[in-house]
Amino acid sequence: MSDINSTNPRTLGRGICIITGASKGFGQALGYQVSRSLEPRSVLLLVARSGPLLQEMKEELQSATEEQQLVVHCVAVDLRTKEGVDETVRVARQEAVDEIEHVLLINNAGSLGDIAKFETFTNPDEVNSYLSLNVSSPLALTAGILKLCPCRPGLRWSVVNLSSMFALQALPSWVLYCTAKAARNMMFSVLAKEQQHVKVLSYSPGPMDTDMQKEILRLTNVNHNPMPCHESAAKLMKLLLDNNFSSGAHLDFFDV
Amino acid sequence: MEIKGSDITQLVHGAENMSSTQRKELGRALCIITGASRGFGRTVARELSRLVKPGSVLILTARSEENLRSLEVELAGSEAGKSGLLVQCVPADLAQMAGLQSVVSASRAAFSEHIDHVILVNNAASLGDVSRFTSSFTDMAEVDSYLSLNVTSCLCLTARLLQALPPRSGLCRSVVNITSLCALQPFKSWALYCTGKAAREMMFKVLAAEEPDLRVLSYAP
Repeated sequence: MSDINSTNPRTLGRGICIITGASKGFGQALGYQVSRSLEPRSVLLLVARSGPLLQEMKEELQSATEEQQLVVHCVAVDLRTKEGVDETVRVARQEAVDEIEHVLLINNAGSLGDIAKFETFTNPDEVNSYLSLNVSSPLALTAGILKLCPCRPGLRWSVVNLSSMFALQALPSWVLYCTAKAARNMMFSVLAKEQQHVKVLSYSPGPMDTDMQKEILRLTNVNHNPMPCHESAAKLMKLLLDNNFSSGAHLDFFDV
Repeated sequence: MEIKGSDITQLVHGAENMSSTQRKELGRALCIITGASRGFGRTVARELSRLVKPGSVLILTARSEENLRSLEVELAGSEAGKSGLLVQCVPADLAQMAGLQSVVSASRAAFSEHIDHVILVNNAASLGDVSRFTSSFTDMAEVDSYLSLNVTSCLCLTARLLQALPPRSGLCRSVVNITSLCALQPFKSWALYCTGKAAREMMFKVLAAEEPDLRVLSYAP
């Protein structure tokens, strides 16, 4: 919880934090920063497909684990599958003990999809698969995590949706990405309206030096001057620590 | 619900262009209407039939063959039907590849050099369970299925028809997305419907940005 005493750093409290797409890019950068902001005996669930990459990350967090008594779980699953989502929820539920002060879910995992003209998207399997990972999966995961433990005073709930300016602005040839981001923005806005005790934030991180950005460059030849992931992750951390954002807000790195 | 003819004309020409391109009819048109068997889709089909010139074709699609046939009979017996409007029913499940293919084949077959206007009305949709909160959607398959009908099938049908009926000189192509305030504003317990409509809203904005010659309208009845 935010500490008003200026000599103590603000923290995310003793929490359970779940980060999807945590093995690289923004998810990974955020994982490192979150680990430093959680109070002792917190739990960090790193979710991604690659077991080895997650394990490496866990090892790098070794010092935090020891000093801060941080428990790190690697959940190597495919979030495109029901089994992957269910397993993530299962591990989280196991760790959600009574003294938890904060449940923080970061829906970061996502994909770019093909960048191509609208009329090329004639194959429903391709579109369904894309929407499943980028819309259905974060919805089902968020729904599962929200059931982790009963609400009680002193328990803070935060849900982050990794968004984009293209959730709000149409971009030619980006129909899959724009559509999914717009869908997620609405989905999380509905959640914010429904659940007064859950703070929901759609965060647009700006262009970052990730594999996704390399893919964008390869497919479009457009260089968006990406920043290092940790820079954008730091801004998200500040938003979460300040905790002043209004639930359901869509905030962009460049506006904050 | 009652739709006036003038509403439909506005529908296709857009408010801002009314002074320069306002017409009293929609040309010799090939109209494809999804979810045409009942409700708004059925009414749109009736209204369009009155506004298109003889030699036009209406392709009516929905899952219910029985309801489509009754509409076909009604339109065949109408003044438009007697003056040369062709009506074709294509019972289809648009969430299935075969359904998409049958609508596109019928449309391609119905198209001719005499057609000067193609109008696609993406009306088929479902509400989803509006009694449940977002936190109840733990079943991915349920959400997948909803998005498949309300987002994917709409995208793929539109894409396939745009490919099958490509631009040519003298041909106007119009695409309508039947939407809702829910596309723009979140409502408690309407997660699926709002999400699907918001997705479509963006989808058609991207299409409009890509194709300046295509008339794209998202209409909330």
